[in-house]
Amino acid sequence: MTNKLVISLLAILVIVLGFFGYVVSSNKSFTETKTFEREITKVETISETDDIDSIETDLNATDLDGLDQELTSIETELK
Amino acid sequence: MKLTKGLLFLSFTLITLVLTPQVLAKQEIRVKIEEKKTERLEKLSAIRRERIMSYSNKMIVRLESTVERLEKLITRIEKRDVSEIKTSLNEAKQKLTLVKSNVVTLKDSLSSMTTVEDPKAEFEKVRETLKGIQNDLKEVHSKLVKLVGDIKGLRVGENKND
Repeated sequence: MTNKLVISLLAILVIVLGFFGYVVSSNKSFTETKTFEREITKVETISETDDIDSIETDLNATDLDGLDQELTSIETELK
Repeated sequence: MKLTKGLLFLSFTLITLVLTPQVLAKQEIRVKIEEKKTERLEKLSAIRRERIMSYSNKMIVRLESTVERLEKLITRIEKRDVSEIKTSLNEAKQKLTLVKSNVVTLKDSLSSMTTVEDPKAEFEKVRETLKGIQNDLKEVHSKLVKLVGDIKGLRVGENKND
């Protein structure tokens, strides 16, 4: 009787942990996608005017540093 | 007669004993090569391939959006009277055209990376192409910053509406 109870509890624990792991991994992927979309929207947001100060502002806001950030992830997948 | 037969048998046995291990060793090597080949192809599992494709797509979108942004900036600069800085502006435009063509090359390398026999070698190509693209984009950006500085400092390209 006690054995059955322990097995049932362990089974429930495994299911709960599995579900928790699934939720965490889905959430991580969702957050990554949202961050990426936000970054792309930022790159795409640009003024249309030919006023020199606003051209300069957009030029200064152009970030070229994170263009290779997916490279490390691809390298990790290839290992 | 018996002696000849005996000698023949002995020779045959000796030849068999000498050659058999060599043949077996060659077969073993062939099997190992085949195994390694299969192993290499299977190394990139479907899930990994999917993840690599997802990262690759993100990288391409990021690059294309940046190129588009710089193109828009060039168009806006061109709207002004830029006769005095036309040469520098054309240089920036040409560099950006080169970047666009390199992005296409990068896209091809990224998509073939999941199918080629040696993905790591293909990855090195990707790394090199991307490095070139980044340097060219930085060069275009610097040129534009300088051009805008020139427009402001030398008061060239004064817009009719200013």
